[in-house]
Amino acid sequence: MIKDITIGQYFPGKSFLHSLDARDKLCLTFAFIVMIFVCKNFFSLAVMLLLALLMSLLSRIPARTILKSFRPILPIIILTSALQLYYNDSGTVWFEYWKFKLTSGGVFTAIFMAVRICTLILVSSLLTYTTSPTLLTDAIERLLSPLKIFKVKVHTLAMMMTIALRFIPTLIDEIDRIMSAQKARGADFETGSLITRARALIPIFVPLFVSSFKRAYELAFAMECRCYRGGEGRTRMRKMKFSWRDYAAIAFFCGCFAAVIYLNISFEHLI
Amino acid sequence: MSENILEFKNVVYRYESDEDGTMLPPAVNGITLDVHRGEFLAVLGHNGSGKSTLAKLSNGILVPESGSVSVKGMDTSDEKYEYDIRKTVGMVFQNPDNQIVATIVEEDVAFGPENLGVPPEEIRKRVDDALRAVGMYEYRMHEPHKLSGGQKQRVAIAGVIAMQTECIVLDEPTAMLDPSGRREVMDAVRRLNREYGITVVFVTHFMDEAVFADRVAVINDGRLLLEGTPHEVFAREKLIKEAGLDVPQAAALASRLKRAGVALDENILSVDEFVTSFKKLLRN
Repeated sequence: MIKDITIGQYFPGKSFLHSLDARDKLCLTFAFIVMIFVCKNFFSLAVMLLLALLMSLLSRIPARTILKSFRPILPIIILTSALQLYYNDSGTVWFEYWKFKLTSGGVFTAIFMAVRICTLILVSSLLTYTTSPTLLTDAIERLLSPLKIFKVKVHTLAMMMTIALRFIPTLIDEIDRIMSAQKARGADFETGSLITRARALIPIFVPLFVSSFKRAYELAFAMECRCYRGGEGRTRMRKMKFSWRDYAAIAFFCGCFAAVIYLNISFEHLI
Repeated sequence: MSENILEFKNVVYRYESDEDGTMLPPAVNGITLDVHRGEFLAVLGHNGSGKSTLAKLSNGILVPESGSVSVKGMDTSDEKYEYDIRKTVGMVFQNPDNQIVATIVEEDVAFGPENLGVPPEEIRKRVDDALRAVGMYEYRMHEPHKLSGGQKQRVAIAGVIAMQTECIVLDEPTAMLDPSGRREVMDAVRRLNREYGITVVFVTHFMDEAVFADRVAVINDGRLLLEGTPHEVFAREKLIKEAGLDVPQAAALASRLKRAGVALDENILSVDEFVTSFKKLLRN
């Protein structure tokens, strides 16, 4: 179960999306997220949704993998939509029962919200699916490098992120192993009240913390042995270079964003 | 070419106790040992014999309490040499998971050369060569956590090769591996030594791995017990058994057969030698 988490994972490949510069992808993703919140009606949202779908096609990541990444978010989507259905009582009333009123406004906003969240998840997962974590942290390091004048340790931050990402699967394996070991000795994680179950997790996290510190210690040794001395004097194997694809992608995104703003102005606002 | 790349002179090292900060009995107690350029040296010892401490002393992770360790004449206790020493002596540790930094194999191998400030094109070349040298080139785009233990350890070795160190110290690199993983790692290390001329110090408690070395040093209770070619060392069966170690399986079988009157050759250590000798016996 715990191994099914696909958020933040990277799928190596050679698609159009993979070949874009990481800095470009990072900035475009941010711009995209902002633009999703600028959308005020279904027409502008449709442009964003189509753009997101086009990107998933270009990423050549199997649809099943992408769909899987929605699973953990499903409760949030359902909750948001349900709240909209209940609280929004604008528009015509379609159905009424006791305190509950189903209105056209409620249904439309619920759908709008659900699509908006899905698009958001889709685009942000595409970023991590198609960009290796090292390149991504590299891109963050480079984009944040102007902060160096304020004495922000950008390289250290990026290195911490790389290592954190690197150890997620290792620690997940470790949790699995500890859980099996505790189960073999009769530990029960599935029954009882929420508090009992939460308490049952303590014997998992204590050994996990202890072993993480040990790992950190060994990793620090290993990094020192490989001549790691921080960011100074370090070179990179992969050079970051904007190609025509990056400029094309930026131009295309700008076009879409302009369309969103135009559609926002020319049609009435839903929210 | 018999100059020494590593020299241990009367080295003593004691750990501090975790509880009260007092000094524990010495883990390494007066070891004097030279490592010659280009050789394959196996360091043998049972658990707690001080062999891992000796490995950590070799590139300045630990600094001796008394005596000295020098790498190509550079004293490891002198901080100004720290960087140059680590450029000369690379190290591979026991647990492959805790020494891989990046999320993609080739990016991890590139970590060392990147730290050295090597230009990008050169790193690319070194990474590809290193991965080919350990037979992991096809896995260059894989995620390390999806590899087997033996493969991860070979990636770690490639990471050291890419730094182009003259000497590589492996601290029980096979202890956490299954037999096939052990063989993979062993083959990779032997190839490095033979084809690339890299000096290898291989710390292990598996006798069968020490058979392939040019020279074997047996450590017991922090002291150097025996030193010599595998044939010389394993001929001292009694002394080795006293150190809590065993002679290699093939050698043990051969010596028992010889005692029972089977006319096998002298000095049988590896399975291959045993088979050749036994075949010869059957033919006659």
